[in-house]
Amino acid sequence: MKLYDYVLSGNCFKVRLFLKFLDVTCDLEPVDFFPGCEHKSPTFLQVNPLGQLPVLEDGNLRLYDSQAILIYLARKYDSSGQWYPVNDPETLGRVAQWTAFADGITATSSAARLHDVLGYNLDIKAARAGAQTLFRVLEDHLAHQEFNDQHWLAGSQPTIADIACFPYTALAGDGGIETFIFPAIERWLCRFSMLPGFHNMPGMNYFT
Amino acid sequence: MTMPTHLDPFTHAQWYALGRDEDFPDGRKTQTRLLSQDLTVLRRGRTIEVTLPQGQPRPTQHRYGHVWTTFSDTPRALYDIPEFEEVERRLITAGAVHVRCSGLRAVENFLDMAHFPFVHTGILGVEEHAEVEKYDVSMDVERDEIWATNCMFFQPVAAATAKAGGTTKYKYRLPHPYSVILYKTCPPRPGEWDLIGLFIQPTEEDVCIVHSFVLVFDQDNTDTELLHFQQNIFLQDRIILENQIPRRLPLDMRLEIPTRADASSIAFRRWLKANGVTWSTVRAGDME
Amino acid sequence: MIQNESTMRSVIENNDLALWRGADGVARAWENRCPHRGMRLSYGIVRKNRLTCLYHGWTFNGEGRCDKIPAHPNLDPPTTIGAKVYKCVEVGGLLWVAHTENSSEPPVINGSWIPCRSLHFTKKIALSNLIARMDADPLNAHAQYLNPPDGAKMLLAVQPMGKRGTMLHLTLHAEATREDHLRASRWLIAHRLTTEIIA
Ligand SMILES: N[C@@H](CCC(=O)N[C@@H](CS)C(=O)NCC(=O)O)C(=O)O
Ligand code: FES
Ligand SMILES: [Fe+2]
Repeated sequence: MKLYDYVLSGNCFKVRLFLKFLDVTCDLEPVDFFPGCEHKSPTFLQVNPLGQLPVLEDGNLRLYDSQAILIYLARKYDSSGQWYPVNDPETLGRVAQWTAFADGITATSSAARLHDVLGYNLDIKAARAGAQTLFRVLEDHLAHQEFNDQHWLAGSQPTIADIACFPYTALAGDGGIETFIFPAIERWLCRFSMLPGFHNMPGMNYFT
Repeated sequence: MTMPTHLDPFTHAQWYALGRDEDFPDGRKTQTRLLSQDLTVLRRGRTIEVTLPQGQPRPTQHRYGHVWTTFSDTPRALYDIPEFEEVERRLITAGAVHVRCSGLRAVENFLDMAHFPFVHTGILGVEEHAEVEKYDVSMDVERDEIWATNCMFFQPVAAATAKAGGTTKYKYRLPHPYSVILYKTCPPRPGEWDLIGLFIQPTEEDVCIVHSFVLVFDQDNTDTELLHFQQNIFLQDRIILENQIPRRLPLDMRLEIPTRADASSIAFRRWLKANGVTWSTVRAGDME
Repeated sequence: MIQNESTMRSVIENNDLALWRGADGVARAWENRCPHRGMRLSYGIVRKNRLTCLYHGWTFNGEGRCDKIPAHPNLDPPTTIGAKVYKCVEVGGLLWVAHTENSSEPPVINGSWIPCRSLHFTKKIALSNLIARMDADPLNAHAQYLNPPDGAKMLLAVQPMGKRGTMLHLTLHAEATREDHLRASRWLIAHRLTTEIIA
């Protein structure tokens, strides 16, 4: 198995971390995302026509989109069914909902980070405001989950939805978005960092 | 041109890196900032033009893979890095990383070994070996630069080429208030030094762009692997730099408490003070 | 709501605070600035009853005194090195911090209270402006009791955060049920919606 990877990408981190959780090894193919912009090169566009990371290759399969990759890995390597609970329609629905939510976090919080760290030219106010709106929704949801002793996005067990939402929430500070005003989010991030196999990526400083 | 209020002559007199040569594509204008002023950079063929908002041109030079400019008409000469002439070395430029802190804080962080076990845990240091042995700090009076030498630190993975943990030797060179170069033992070539350095572009007093380079003898790693290693380390530092209070550097020794491990930072702050630097530093009244 | 052996960042007006709780359950509120190089202490880690700064690992005991500098393992740090410690007490399920000399005393609140929500408002909110469509009972300038027509008695406190707006902290009397907590939280969310639209 091979992962086209960039060390500072939260979307690549999701995949690297999940592989670690599942104790599955995978080769990494480092891509010069910045400053080289290799993901937009003609060679890379043959790997992923969207010009995005991550991309996973397994045998004849080539998959892009981090959420799709998480689903694939869960079905293939997680025999417990915890991470992607296909046999529980309600939970599965919630997993799908919060997994889709992660793309919104990428579009806002990750965009703010690209602007603030790597100097990308984009509407930073809109990116931060968009992230703020999503984080309020996430905060209220997580606080209400806690009232019911449900400590994860889709229920009482962590799923790929938590993995999908984690990186760009944890890295929001890189993009100038303060998360200490969202205490339920902070508690969830901290719980997540205590999952066995967790490790930080640069920009995170959880005690491991 | 009008000078920002706290700009001192020494800061004003320096050359500053604005980016790598390849960051400025032919015929396309790039807007940037330096010392709280707007600048436009434009490449036409082999020449690069840097202009102020009213179109006044500023001098430029290409060195060390980067484009440099100055606001001064009598600038302090840009320092030499003789290692750039050594043909067997590979140069990897890691791109421009923006940080909300004084560029001087970024220099100080780079000089500092004591943070390795806590910020670069498992790579440049481990908590069980956090001791910083005494090292030497000296002034090169002729070139007006600071050197820290005989620095030693225990590291589990000192470089992308390192196979096992061990004590790494370092030297640090401070030739410019916004440049810092480190020399570290080079695992494949005992006796030689690998270089890593920062050319910092102070855009505002409390915001900077960090341009970094790696100049090494490495044969085992691809450029992209070295790039990832370097960016991984620097982004670990960035979270620290963005969370130091205040964002500007205090020169008054009473505001922050140094220990012997901070000898190079003490020398740096003294040197800035002796050169009358006020830009990007803490001034009276700031800390109330 | 700070869990044992964890830190939290907070802001009063424009003062940055590091809040943390040791394994002993005692909550502390310090200036959020390490005396060594100014790193925010809220990024630190708590082990047992000591806080370690993320940057160089300087370690502080519960009273704020630095008792370990890892770069110099054989050095006994001078007793003068320490973090700036603020007075703080826990009353009514809330942490009350005196960030200035002339901060007022926390109110007297009897009984046992359970944290419900700490909700961020982008605007400056004064207690007097709170349109509590219910029976209110002021405690001091920063807190009031609320007696909803249905459900448990609530305690609402305001934390002004300068340019960052306001945090509203809501706690419920210990006998409140899950449903009470959920209802109270929904009420506060709805309240924020109207407040931020009107303003
Ligand atoms: N939905 C995609 C988004 C991937 C994405 O945005 N990747 C970033 C790197 S973290 C990227 O390659 N961006 C380049 C672009 O979108 O043009 C996923 O989750 O994988
Ligand atoms: S800044 Fe806290 S230990 Fe150095
Ligand atoms: Fe560092």
